[in-house]
Amino acid sequence: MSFSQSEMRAMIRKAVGRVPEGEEIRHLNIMPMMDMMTILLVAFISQLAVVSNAAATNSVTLPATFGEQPMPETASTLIITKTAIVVEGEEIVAVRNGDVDPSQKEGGADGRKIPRLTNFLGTLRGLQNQALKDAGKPIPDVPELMIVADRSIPYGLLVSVMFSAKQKEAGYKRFRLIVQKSHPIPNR
Amino acid sequence: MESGEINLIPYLDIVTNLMLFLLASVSANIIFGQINTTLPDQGAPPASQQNDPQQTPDEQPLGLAVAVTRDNIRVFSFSGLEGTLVAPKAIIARTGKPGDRCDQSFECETNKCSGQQVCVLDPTADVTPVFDYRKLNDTLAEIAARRFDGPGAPKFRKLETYQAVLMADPSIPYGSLISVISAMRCKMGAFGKEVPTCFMPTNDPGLKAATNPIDQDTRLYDPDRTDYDPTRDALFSDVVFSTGFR
Repeated sequence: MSFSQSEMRAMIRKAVGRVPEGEEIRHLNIMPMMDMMTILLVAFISQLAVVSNAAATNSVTLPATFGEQPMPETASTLIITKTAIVVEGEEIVAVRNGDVDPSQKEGGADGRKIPRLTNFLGTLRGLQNQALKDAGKPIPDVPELMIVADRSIPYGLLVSVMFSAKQKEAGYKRFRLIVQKSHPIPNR
Repeated sequence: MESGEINLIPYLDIVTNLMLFLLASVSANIIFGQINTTLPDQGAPPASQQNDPQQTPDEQPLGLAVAVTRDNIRVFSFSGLEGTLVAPKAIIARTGKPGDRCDQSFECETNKCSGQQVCVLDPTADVTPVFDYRKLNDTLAEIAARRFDGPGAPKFRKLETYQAVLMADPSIPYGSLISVISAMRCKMGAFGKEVPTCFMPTNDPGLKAATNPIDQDTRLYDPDRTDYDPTRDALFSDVVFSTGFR
């Protein structure tokens, strides 16, 4: 269907004529806009709550790096802050002066395994596998754990966490270290 | 009373302001990346990592190790092909003091690099050891280029040769380790220049069956069908964490 220029002008004049000049538009329907705004607001707040999971337990400053791979699909997340080890939002053990209290480690101060963390990860993996099974999705052959750690956490604690997660009871075989991508300051 | 309608304008004002605030905080220009790694089992190395007398030296795993201490980084190999613990291939010194040159934040002990490309003094910052990552990167790039791309090198670089062991003093902070791992994995760009993420080797069956052995989207490649290029491909991408010095 096509209109000539004069027909178009007549249609516009007619449309404009429907609203008398100077009269206020009283019945603008803003309900769809409010619906949309409310949905967006709820979505943003829930997203922010997930992102700030680490911040809620204490701030984590991610180490910066260059040229790393993009983020993967979702996996179990473990956060190591300056004060605690947190798995899926739940604080498992406290961290003091860059290490877990010796009483929480098998073998004391020189030990590596943190039994409480191992047990929690084992239970978590069992639940996740069951959920995948119920949903008819394949269970991953090599379970992976995403580790988000503060840049000041000592290597010794990181190894303790990985060692605990790798125990047979927990069964995590591969680890993804989450970093913040940095960009070089250009030459002037 | 003029009418029974609810005045929605204040509500809309609040929602609009909240939306703007949330949008600004969510899109805070933070890009996350990931590094895959494993913690080795204790015991004898797997067969794929043991030297085979029938293989040429360039085809054998180098057993490359990068040892990070509080004072320096030592690059050596368990095989002896690229230095030993006593006579390392390279010793990388500490750097990143306030006033030192930098082009990225991780090159500074305070994690702050100014717009003038100089590390900034910040008494409130967590100070973490920083090493000459560019020198470490150049050392590893030279080894990779000479062994796997130079004259007499095999046509395709084997997947097991991408492995290197990272040893570190237990007190070394995670931030320093990540910087070392990054310098081990990909060739760094020239000072102040950004380079695209390097390509990583994979044994993924999907890519093995694909016509093109290089996947531009995922930045992965099939090492059995791709000519190795150290400027484009990974250097030592399979970083294995050692459980420490013994």
